[in-house]
Amino acid sequence: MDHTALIALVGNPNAGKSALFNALTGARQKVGNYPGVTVERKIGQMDLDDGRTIDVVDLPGTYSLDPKSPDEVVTRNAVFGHQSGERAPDVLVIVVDAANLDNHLRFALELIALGRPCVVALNMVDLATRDGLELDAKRLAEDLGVSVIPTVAVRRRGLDHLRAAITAALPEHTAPAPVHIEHADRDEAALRREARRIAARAIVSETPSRRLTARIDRVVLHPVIGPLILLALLFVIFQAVFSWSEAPIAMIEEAFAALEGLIEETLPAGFLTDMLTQGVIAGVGSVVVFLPQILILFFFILMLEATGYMTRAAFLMDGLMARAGLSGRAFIPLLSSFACAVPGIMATRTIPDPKDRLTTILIAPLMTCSARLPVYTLIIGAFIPNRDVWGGIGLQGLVLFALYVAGIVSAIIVAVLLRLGVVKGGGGSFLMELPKYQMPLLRDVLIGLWQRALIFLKRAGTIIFYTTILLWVLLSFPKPPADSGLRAVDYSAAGRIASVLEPVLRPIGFNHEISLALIPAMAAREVAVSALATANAIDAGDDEEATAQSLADRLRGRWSLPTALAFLTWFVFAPQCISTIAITRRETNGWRWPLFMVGYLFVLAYIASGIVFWTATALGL
Amino acid sequence: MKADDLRLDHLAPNRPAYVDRIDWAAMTEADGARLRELGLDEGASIELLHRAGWTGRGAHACRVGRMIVAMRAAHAAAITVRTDGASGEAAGRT
Repeated sequence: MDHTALIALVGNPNAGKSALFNALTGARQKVGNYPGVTVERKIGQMDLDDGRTIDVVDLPGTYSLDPKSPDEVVTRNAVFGHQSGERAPDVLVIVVDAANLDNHLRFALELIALGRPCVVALNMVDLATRDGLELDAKRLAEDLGVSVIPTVAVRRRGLDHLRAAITAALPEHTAPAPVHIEHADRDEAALRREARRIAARAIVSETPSRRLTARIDRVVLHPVIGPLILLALLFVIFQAVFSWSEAPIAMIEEAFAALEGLIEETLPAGFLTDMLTQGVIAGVGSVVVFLPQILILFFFILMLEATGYMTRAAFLMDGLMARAGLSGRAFIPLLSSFACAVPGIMATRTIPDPKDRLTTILIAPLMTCSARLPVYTLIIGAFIPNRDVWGGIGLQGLVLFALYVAGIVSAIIVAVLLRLGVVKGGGGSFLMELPKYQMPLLRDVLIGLWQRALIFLKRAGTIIFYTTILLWVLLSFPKPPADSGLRAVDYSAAGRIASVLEPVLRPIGFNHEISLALIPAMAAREVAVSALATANAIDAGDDEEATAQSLADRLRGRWSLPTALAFLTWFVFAPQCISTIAITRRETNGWRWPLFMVGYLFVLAYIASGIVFWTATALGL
Repeated sequence: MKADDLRLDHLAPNRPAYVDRIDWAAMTEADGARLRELGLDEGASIELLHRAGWTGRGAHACRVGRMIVAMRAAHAAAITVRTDGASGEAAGRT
């Protein structure tokens, strides 16, 4: 064989493709995008028993080769060998849910009819057994005319046999050529009848089962109890983000403090030492310290997805979403936006209606993304007392929860207004499969967390690192004359730029320091924290007492409570994230909608911050 | 639709039925195609499991074969079901 073989995992949504991909490739996987589109490309490597290493691509789930969304177009094109950035697959591994054979076999038959080498992974056979199904894989293989391997991807069962079947199916020596894309003129009804017939033959026995999914659904989909469980779950998540992260945050802070001490001891005093300690460590360290909170949030999101609960949440929320002119399907992208608006906006591709999708994109930045957490936790930690208000519920966690709720309520109001105005018409659809519940595999969740941690640390090591150094230079130079009595930060280039912005922001309670932090925070919200940290480190200079004070202590001494509350409110709305603006441009194919989004969010941020500042001042807070 | 037709949105929960016919004209072409891909077509076995919302007019969760499918009440209203016997194509297979 003179090329690295490629196998493609393809199948219906919820067939367990991603779990199989993780089981086959382990940590040897990369997540990127297909060129020109924002569809996620997951590729990894696996070893065959004969010593060869081959590539494995996990294609987006779809129900047929008749695509209805950009994800499904990629799957169709990749299967036919026409997808840009992907070579034609040597073998298709068709992943079907053993407990849902008649439905999944319809697509499998369509794929087998293409004539490419195929292997069927009869996945989740354990759940089929749990549901009282006994299947005959041999008879199924005879009827389909291809190898059928029973697997339980999450428990790594059947993988050796699957690898052997893939090896046997790999064609020798030649790379596969793309094939002509055939447009659907098949007899749909006949295909479905055939799928049902084959599925019925494969079922040896079907006994009444424990129906675990039905029992859980009776509780979590209950019209009254269900929404209460969802609300409680969200509340627990946000409390955990705060309480579980305390110890690891302290460890990271100690590590950065030790590194700073080491640099000061090792290097001579001067420009380089100042830049490293006041710029890089103060700036990057102040952002990296929030990694535990971001990972805790992602842990819950990944767990909700892996258990099958996430689609139940969409089911419960559809009624509310419909009133806001959205689909329940928008709930998943919006919930993802709590971690980061970029994957959230990318996830809107699963919303078939273009206007539903556009509205969801435009409100996604109102969901409280993890980049806001550094800002929120710094200000809450500095200004909100750390005490219990009732039954062990912390006041700080409650304020954080209120900020999340403020984002959600604003998003609903904005969506209603958008659907009445600029994004009028269309919509009204919600059709999705609710998968069976299953116990998530910790390994898969850890792989997901590892990928998210890498993305976050890469941001900290690139955009935040460079912005921090640039900001340190702008904040450090020019130096004020020795006997002028002027603060170094005010006299610096950055200080002068902030002075231009300050008159616009002063009416809503923002001081010079905030004006200064908001400029670099256009790149990413969390830069506001590193900017405040860097400015404070420079401002403290050689004053040991001031240096020893934490950033929170110093802010408490210089900001009023109304200013702090206005600052928090600003970050509920302000579109301070270049990545979100860029992804919106890509997803909407132009500048019209990202500019509209940036405009309306800044106006909202200004008005809301002003209202909070004026009200808090009037109340004497 | 005739007066004595039983619509899916009016079906009692957990009562086995099968799809008699679907008013494809009551939905968009894309929604119709997705419904078919989810196994909803004439003869499929179906059972209403849950209605979301206090008024019962929220999303409907139905068992279609061995799959649970969520849809809005408007789509459920376009599906006429029959509960007499267990004679649907899909229901009859087991």
